[in-house]
Amino acid sequence: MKDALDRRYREATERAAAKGAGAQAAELDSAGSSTSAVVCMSLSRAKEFIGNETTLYSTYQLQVRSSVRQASEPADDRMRLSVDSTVHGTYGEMIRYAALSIDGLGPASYGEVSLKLRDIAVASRATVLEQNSWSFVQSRDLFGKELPPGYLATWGERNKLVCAKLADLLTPKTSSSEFATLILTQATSRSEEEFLEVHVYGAFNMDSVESVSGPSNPTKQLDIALVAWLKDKLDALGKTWVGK
Amino acid sequence: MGWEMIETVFVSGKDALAYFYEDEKWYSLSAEETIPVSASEVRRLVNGGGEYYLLRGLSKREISDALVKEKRRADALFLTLAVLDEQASISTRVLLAQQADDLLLESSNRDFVLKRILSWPLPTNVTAARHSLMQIANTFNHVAMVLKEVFNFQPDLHEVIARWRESAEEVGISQAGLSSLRSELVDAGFFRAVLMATVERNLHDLNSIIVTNLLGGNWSPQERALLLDFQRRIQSSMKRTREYEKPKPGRLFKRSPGADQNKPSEDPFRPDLPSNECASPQEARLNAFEAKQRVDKQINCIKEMLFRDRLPLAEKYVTDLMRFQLGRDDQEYAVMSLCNLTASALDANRLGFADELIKYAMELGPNDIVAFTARAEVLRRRGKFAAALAAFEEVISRFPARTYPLNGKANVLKEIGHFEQAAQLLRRVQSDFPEDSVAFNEEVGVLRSQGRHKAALQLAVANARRFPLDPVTRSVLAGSLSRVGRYAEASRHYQQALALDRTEVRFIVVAALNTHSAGASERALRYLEEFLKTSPTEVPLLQAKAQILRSIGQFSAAKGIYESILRGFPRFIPAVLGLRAVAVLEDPIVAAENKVTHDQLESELDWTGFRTYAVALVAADRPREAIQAIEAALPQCPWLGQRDRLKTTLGIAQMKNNEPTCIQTLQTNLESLEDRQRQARLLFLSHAQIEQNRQSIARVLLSRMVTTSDRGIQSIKEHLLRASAGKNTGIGKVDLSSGELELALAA
Repeated sequence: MKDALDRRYREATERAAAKGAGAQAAELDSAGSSTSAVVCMSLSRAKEFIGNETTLYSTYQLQVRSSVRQASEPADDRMRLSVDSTVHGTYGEMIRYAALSIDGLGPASYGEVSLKLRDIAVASRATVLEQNSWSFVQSRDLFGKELPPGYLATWGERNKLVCAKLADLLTPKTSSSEFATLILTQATSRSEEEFLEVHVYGAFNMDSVESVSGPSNPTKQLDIALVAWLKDKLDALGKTWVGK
Repeated sequence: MGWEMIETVFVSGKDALAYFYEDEKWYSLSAEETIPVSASEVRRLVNGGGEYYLLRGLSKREISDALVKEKRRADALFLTLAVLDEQASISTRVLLAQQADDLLLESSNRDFVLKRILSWPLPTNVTAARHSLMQIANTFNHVAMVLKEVFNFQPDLHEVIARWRESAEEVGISQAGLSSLRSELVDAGFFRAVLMATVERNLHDLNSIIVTNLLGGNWSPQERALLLDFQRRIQSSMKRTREYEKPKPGRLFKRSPGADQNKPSEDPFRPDLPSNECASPQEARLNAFEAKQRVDKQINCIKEMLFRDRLPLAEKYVTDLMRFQLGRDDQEYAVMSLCNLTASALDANRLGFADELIKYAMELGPNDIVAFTARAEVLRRRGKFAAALAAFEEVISRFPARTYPLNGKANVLKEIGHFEQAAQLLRRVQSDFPEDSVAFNEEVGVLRSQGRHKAALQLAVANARRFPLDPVTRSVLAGSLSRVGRYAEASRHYQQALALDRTEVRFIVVAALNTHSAGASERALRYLEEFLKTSPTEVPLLQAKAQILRSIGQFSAAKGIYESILRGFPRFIPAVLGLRAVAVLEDPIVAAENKVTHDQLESELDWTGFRTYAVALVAADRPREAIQAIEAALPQCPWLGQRDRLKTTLGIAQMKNNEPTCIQTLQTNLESLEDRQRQARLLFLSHAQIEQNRQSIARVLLSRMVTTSDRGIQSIKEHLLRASAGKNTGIGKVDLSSGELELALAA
């Protein structure tokens, strides 16, 4: 697996150098090493996630929350578990999904709030897949088959996967300011979004979060109140809020 | 499209999303869109803490409706909890409360929120901050309603959950099993229902709740055992409480065993009010809210009787009320009712009645801190400061971590002039309860009593910054500004206080009086009129209007208002005193015939009545008698503020009696008086200097020190300036103008 990734990385950077974009490939390589895992969620989910780690919520809200009704597995869901098990085998259930990002913003279709995870919280338990696993498995018809080698990287080698995926798109005119969009392409629909998917083994909480990005000027009254509350909570937790 | 039934739908109010399965595909439905999603995503999200409900057989329209409903309920719960969150800033809490209020308007949302919040006791840091939280919540009716219920039921909720924990331990259920069972029960409103049954001491309801839940759920034998054990523990806890709280009859309010249960009211004013000689079985089965409504009605009626001076009827209604509440085993609420009525009896200056009420409350609630604190407060209001101090100290020793008795003790220390001790105590309370504004505002009061009005103002400013949304703190700041003559700024802060709490009539009254003090009497009257248009019978507003009219010489208009108030509420003492003041101004000889002796005086209002009588003696040209009466009364007067006022009256009487000592008397404590009182004193001092042929001193005093814009004082000032210039004013015969008499009555 590792050899295959190294080979893809080497070949991609060589192709970039051949068309005069060697410097850009080196910059992309470096930028890839400083990327973060970002989880996106709606404002209402963010309030639950962020709130659950703080005084009132951890001691009280958990006690008063209504019944968490586990979804019954639909009998006719033939594809259930198939993507997870294709990518991760038996530990698919343990995986939390994030996107790789330079600027701390994740794919907007998953929610307007992006949580940037601390490097130290994911470094030893995350891998990166070249694409959203659903699209990756479906487009290559990989259900029940092995993943092709070279498309999955450890956290420490995510720069190689970034280059392997994106170096062919570089030109001598590509500026480093374009890397954020190359690595994570926002779109109006989920199917058009393009990003490298981060798989984090096991759960994480707000301790693993470095900063949170969200709407700086929400228009709905309820959202204004929610954002104000989130900022207070983050402030109490010593985390940064980044308005976008 | 939209009407086919969809078999499997997951709806989450928290995520504001629904997932449904149609034509072998999953879709997510939000307020904005319906998009196809992968099955694995559905599985991840539905099991990921979003609290999805499984619904079956819905059309898409119904899914949308269910989604909206679930989202509103979830938002209402989140917002209400977030208002309680100590990590949220005040401005954020206001934003949250505003949004919560809109959602809690719907009773189904309120019910949803209460079911959950009343399923587990609030953390202690939240209950400790009740006062400041309610200050925010009070601006939003529905939030206030919910939080009041949540806070009020905390002691009982602690009991219920303690029994639940005991049962869980007894049965030995696993943590996961317990958590799952609890979740289902919270959702069904089980804990709130048990709580209400406990509060009402209603065994029948309790048993019915347990049986219904046992029958309705698919419980394991262990879960059934837990529920039955819980039922047994709550039952025995309720029985224990009933035995302990066996009611004792009060001294004044006895049971009358022969009375008819459904006898109609004997009250000619309120024939609609039923006579509750004892709680009938039907009454005993009223639910908590129906009972509360009924009790509120009875309490209002008793208050009305107190102010209508129909004491025997008030006593009878208290007896009826106690029978109703004790008949329902609402011991705790009976104590609350008595405390509430005690406050009203104090307002009606029925001090003896108040004392009886509160003693009864103490008998019924031997561990009720409110009752014991209120008793100490009654003693204070009666001017029995040594006894009040001892009573507060007793309460503090029994309930050391509560603010009310500590603040109350500081208040008494202030009244007896132990200012430093009072301030120290208040600072201790501030340090222990930094979110409670009361001790901060009380310290302003201590500084004012010391005559340190500028220091008081500085502290009031700091307090207003600390509690920017507390209307009382804001009105204390306004009062401090008014006391140093900064009326325009005071007016702005009064308006701010009123904006923070539109239900507080006191703020309207003090704002109007402040405007009047600033010399804009007509504007003050117009301001009051605005509010009287919508509340024409609001007594404090009418009283303020009459007071202003009286001070600008419109005696008959003022008299008409006082009389109209007294027709409805013959015991409303401020109106009684107002009418007497008008009598002093219109016909002092007759007014002076209504003798008031000082030996039975207790409250501050009592002493105001005595002072009015003394002014009447001066006005009736009987200054010698006024001097004798005041000199005999002064050592007996426990109220420092009233003593200052009596000194002013004494000085006026001495001046009228041509005694040179009047100058010394009028100079006593002059610098520590609040602005309006000091300005009045300076006028009388100037007048006294003129009478002693010290015109130049009088002119200096009048021109340099009488600086207020108060129209009444300005008019007297001009009159005295002319007199000091030797023009013909009639001064020299020591005649007091009606303006001066009015000032003597008011200052």
